[in-house]
Amino acid sequence: MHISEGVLAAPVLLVGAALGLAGTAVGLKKLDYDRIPQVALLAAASFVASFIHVPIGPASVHLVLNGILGVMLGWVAFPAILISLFPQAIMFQFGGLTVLGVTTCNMALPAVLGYYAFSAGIRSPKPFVSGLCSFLCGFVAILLSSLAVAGCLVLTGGSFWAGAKMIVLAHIPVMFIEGFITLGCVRFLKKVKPEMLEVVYARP
Amino acid sequence: MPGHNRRAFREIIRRRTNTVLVAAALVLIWISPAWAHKVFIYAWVEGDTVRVESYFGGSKKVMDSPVEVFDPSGKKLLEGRTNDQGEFSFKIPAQTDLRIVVEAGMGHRAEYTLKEADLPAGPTEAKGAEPSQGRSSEPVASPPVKPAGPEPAPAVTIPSAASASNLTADQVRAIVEKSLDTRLQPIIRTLAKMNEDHGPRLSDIIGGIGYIFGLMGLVMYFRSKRK
Repeated sequence: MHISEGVLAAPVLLVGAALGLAGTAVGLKKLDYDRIPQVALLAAASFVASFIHVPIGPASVHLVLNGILGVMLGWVAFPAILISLFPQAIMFQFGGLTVLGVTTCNMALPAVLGYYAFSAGIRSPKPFVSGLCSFLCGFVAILLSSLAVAGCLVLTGGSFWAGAKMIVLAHIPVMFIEGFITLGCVRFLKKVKPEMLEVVYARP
Repeated sequence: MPGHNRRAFREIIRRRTNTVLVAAALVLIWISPAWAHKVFIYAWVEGDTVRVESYFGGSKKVMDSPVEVFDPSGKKLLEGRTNDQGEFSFKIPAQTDLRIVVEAGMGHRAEYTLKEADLPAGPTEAKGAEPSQGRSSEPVASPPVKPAGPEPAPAVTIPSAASASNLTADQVRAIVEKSLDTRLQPIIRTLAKMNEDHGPRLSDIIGGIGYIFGLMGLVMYFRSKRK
């Protein structure tokens, strides 16, 4: 999901930074301060997940966990993802500071969309509906993220078409893995600590 | 509520132990020391050739990817592709800083700047200064020996030695440089690699987690003061 510095064109970077800033502002406004530990926990999980790489398929890619962040945080996924990307940008140059905005958007927008599309279904008392929706939430979040990264490359220059296609293909295994991870997390939380999900539903 | 939770939790532990274990094992398998998304590139000089090697974090080679070489003003000097060992080499095109960029695809790229100081002196400069000095000093030193020596034997050997060294001053230099290159190449490689290659270590990851929770603590501290 990380794009190296110096690849993208300036307009793409600027739009990404602006959208990232706006999303983070919305997220901070919606943030219930009693939930800060939960946000930090999920940000840390997303940070660690980006080191777990999936050696399946044509290229190695890593976990993102933005589906779970979307389910549990809604708009707050923006600040959470920004916080987890920041140390990666400065310590490891996985992408740099200039692409921070773009990467935040690429990861957080699908999380928010997944939240709006599937949170009602996940809340359903029927285990099948709830399970299906949580799987789809994790799956679609990665699908949209990889499409967004591919889109950024295509917008920068036509020569990136092959690379863009490659990104989406390479993330197909990740889509399934994250679908199952999201499914597992939602089922676990529903049984063990349902209020952790309920808080989000009460305050979208 | 807490009682219900505890009961539910115990039930899950009982019923889902296997699932949880399998999931944990899978996740652990995926954690491998290869950091897929950083591209490393380094370059070193061998004679008049610059060798470039590029690989993804975790030693996967960047194969058949375009490499471009720029001068400091951004003018493209040459381009090429890495072979299936992730290597690319080219003759030094100009005595200047060389910015070498590899595009590894999927939005990954890396660059390495080879400083002018790392390049060997160009052929024109070298001939202008040092070798001529070396050549002039030897013939000057040897002729005075010849008439001074009374015996013929040393008089014969010294000029022959002098003429031999005279003939090969440039060649000796070339030979020495060549063998130094081969001898030093592993060291230069390692140095260039060390310069670039520091993937995330466990301490970095733990540091990152600590930073996130530190931020959390900071925010909570200020919130609690306000109340």
